[in-house]
Amino acid sequence: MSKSINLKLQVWRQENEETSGDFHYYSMNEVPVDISFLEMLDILNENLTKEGVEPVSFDSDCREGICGTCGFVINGIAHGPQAKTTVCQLHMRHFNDGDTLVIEPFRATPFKIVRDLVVDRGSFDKIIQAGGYVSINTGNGPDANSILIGKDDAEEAFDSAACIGCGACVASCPNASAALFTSAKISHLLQLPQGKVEERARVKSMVDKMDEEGFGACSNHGECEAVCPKGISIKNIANMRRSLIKSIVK
Amino acid sequence: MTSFIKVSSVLKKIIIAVTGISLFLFLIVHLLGNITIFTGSPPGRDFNAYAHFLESFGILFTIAELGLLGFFGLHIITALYTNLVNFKSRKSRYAVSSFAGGKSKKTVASTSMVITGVVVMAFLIWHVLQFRLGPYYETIYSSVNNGEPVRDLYRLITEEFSSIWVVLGYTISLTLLSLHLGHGFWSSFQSLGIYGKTFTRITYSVSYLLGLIISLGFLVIPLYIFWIN
Repeated sequence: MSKSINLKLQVWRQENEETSGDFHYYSMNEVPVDISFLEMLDILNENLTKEGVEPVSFDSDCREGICGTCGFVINGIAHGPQAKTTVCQLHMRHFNDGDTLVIEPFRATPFKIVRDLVVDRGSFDKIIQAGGYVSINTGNGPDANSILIGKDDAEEAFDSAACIGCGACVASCPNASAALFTSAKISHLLQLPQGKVEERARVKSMVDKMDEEGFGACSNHGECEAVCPKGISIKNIANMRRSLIKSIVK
Repeated sequence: MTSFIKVSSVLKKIIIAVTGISLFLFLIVHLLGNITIFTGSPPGRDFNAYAHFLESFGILFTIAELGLLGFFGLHIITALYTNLVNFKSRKSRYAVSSFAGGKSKKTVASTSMVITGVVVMAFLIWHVLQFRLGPYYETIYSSVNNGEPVRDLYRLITEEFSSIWVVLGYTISLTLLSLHLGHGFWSSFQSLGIYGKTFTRITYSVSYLLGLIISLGFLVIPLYIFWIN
């Protein structure tokens, strides 16, 4: 028999974007410590369904920490207290018996609340559409290894490309800035020869889109890096700024 | 005005960083100049001579003053506007907010830049009204400026800093300035895209210390003047 804990949950419930939400209080008894946070919410939802109460809506997909679908704020920290972890990979062993957990959706004006803990992160897609790609104007894509790339460059680009677009950076930023997300995408392509070609147009267009969507400005709090499930560095934000300066000066 | 608003958030932060670093350098020059308060005989002779030396540049001095005013203005207006946008970007606030720790550089100082900034701005206006635009006294000794009298700023500072309230006001303002500089120094480099693993680690770790040293350096003066009175 594995260890179990009792918890008090304070969950944000909101019908839709138009209505105002509030906190609902639930007691969870004998939660096995080996299950994940989302599995704990699954149990809560089963109980709520039996009671005839509408279950708590939350996003999830792969449940192995690689897709970026899940995410909410636990006690003021996006994805909860465990570093480099999404809520689906956050296990209940990181909590203590008797803890009160305040669960809120990712809050930012561009992230509209769909229901309860589900937010619409479509603004991220719009930023990508503004330039987060390499144009292939004709024919097939080139062969995989036709352009040789040094190991260090490949590693650096991959570190930036590890971003899963979950939105925790925006959620944790005191200014609700999307600088870490946008810069990771810019930086990823910037470090590869294929992406260098469109660098100037890309950085300008993606930064403008980021502002247009209503995200705040980055004030270098670095909270985004600390909560990022993939540990994306604020070095990417510096890369984006350098790239933008270059696009103006040149 | 519309073209200013249209400047991207990244460029606005670059403006804040460039003006911020320049104002930081100004503070260092100002602090070094203040050392003259402690030297010379009769007391304040060197300080008055230094002030007179600066004013003797005439039009160049006025241009420098206006330039400084421009830098302050640009820094403040850009920062206030950015803060307004940031405020709008999260209309519904979190019930619980916390510090993630680890690699985070979010501190009380970093989250209160606009508050410390506004207090420092108010302090600055007070400071300029108090001294630069304050009462004009003339020196009674003749060891400066070939015997011609110069402005006796030293007498003004001894008068002003004899009040406990003025000293207290300076202490509070300079403490907040140290927090402002603490986040501002390292953050300026990051805003300009200057990042290096070692460089950022060093600038971040000395940032709050530099802020404290500069503030303490300035604070020594009102405390010293109050003490000798």
